[in-house]
Amino acid sequence: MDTHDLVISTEGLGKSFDEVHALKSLDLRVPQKSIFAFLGTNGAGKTTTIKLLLGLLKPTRGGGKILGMDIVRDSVDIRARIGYLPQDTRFYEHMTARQTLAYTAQFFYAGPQSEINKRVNEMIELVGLEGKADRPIKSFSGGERQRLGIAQAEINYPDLLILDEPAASLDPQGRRDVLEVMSRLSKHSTIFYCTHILDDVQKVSDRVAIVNQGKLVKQAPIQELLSGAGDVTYAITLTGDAQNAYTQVNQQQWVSGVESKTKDGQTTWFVSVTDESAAKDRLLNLLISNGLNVLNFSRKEQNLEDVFLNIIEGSRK
Amino acid sequence: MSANTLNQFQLVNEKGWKRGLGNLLQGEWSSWFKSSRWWKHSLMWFSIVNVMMGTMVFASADAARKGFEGPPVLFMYGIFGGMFVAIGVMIIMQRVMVGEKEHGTAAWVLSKPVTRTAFVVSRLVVNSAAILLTSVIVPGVIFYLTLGWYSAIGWLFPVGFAAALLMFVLHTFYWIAFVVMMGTLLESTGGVIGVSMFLFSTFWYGPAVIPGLIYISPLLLIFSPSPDLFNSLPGSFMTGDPVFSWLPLISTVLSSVIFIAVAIWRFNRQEF
Repeated sequence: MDTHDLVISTEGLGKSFDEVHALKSLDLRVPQKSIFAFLGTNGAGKTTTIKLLLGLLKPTRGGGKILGMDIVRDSVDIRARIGYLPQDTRFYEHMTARQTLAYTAQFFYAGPQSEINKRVNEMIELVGLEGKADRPIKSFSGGERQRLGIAQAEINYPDLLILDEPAASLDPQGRRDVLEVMSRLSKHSTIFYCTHILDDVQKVSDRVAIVNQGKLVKQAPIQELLSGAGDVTYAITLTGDAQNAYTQVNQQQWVSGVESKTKDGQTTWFVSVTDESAAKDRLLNLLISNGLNVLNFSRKEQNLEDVFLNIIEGSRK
Repeated sequence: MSANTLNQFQLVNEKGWKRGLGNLLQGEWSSWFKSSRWWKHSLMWFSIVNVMMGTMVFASADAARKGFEGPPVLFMYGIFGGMFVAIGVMIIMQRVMVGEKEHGTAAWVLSKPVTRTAFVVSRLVVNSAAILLTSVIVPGVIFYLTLGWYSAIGWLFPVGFAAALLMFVLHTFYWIAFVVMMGTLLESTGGVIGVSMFLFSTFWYGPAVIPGLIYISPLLLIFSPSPDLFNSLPGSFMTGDPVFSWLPLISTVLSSVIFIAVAIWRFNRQEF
């Protein structure tokens, strides 16, 4: 990937707090117009990375660029072109949502006031806060604060939107709305976000990076991550004497492993295969030819959670 | 952002350390003067300074009519208009920096195109203006009028009183700058108010033990601990007596500048 196509690039970025190495060495590559999910367990270094990118923390090692500008030297210029939603959104409680958005907008725009007001109204509408725009923020619920957080992050038409746990405090409806807003915003902005909700990542993201214990352990397009997550597995539910078939299946060259579980007189096999086309052609026939009743035969779908856990486990070994 | 969208807006064009300053000043100003805060503070300081001093002015006038010596009005103004205001500053200002750091609003604001220097300057400028206006200047003018109309002292020379009031302004500003600096150095309001009160007590009681302290402390800008031996600076300006020493004034101004410089230096190195 050409470095000009990258919105964020870091080289050996690291941060230590006294003896604690919160981030060891991060080489991140976030391409333009991507919805980039930054994943990791608690304390993996996600929020530290975001704060380093924003200039709220100073790196102890390495460095990075956002939109071609240095994250330490050009921090204020970078912040003029990005939007940020913190993990725990905090605003001035005495202000209303409208005042907060106008205040935020005026860090970027000196006028005209009519255009600023128009933009504020657009943002209020975007996040569905029309009925509450003129109420002080102290009366807002967690979800409403989160929506306001997204609105203020987007108020300046940012080239890059950095969201720290955007859906964390939302109910299912709120989460769905946030994902929709993210998808809409991705037409104009690159979105870099971290989350624990892997289901959401699979729905909206196109690229993923996984960080563990302060180190980047994987960075890839999400499809590549899911397809290259290891062997394809078939889940097969059977009745009958399966001993002979079990031996035969295990002996096939394209089978890398069979796991068997028995419950209520039914046996379920999880057959991992290295050659999916061979499995498609021969696995089911092999079972039937052994006189087994096949009650269910399906390809087990890989999900991001499995991939994530495998990668995290693998990185600990 | 598309060019069309950009064209509709006039971009903020502040440069260098001033990036974001205009909006920060406006925001902070609104929190004082577009809310009930300014009149609540005005009322509070009117009660503390003017009601108390008014009582003393009337008592002094009454005593003079009866041929007695009344309460030392100008001396007491140093306590109500200077000492109480300084303690008030510590209480009011203790959360200005620490509160924003604790609550997370500082981190939020600093995620916008704003310099840290502009952040400190905005907090210092607007809070100073609001506190000086509500607790020193307006009560000071009311005190001047009360004194002129009702006391036996009569109308003081306006320039002398203005110079005296300036000393109260500098004394209050000294404590504002100190509390802002402590807010950047410490992470708890208890620490800020504790250190400020300790220094204040040292200046208040210290000269009895270490007489030289009087020259470097801001105390003489509001009050003389030994009025029979030497006058405070405002006392000299109001009565026309010779000034005991200019050193406290120089020291107060220099210290305030140092406090601001340390606050800016520290905040620029702070991590959020």
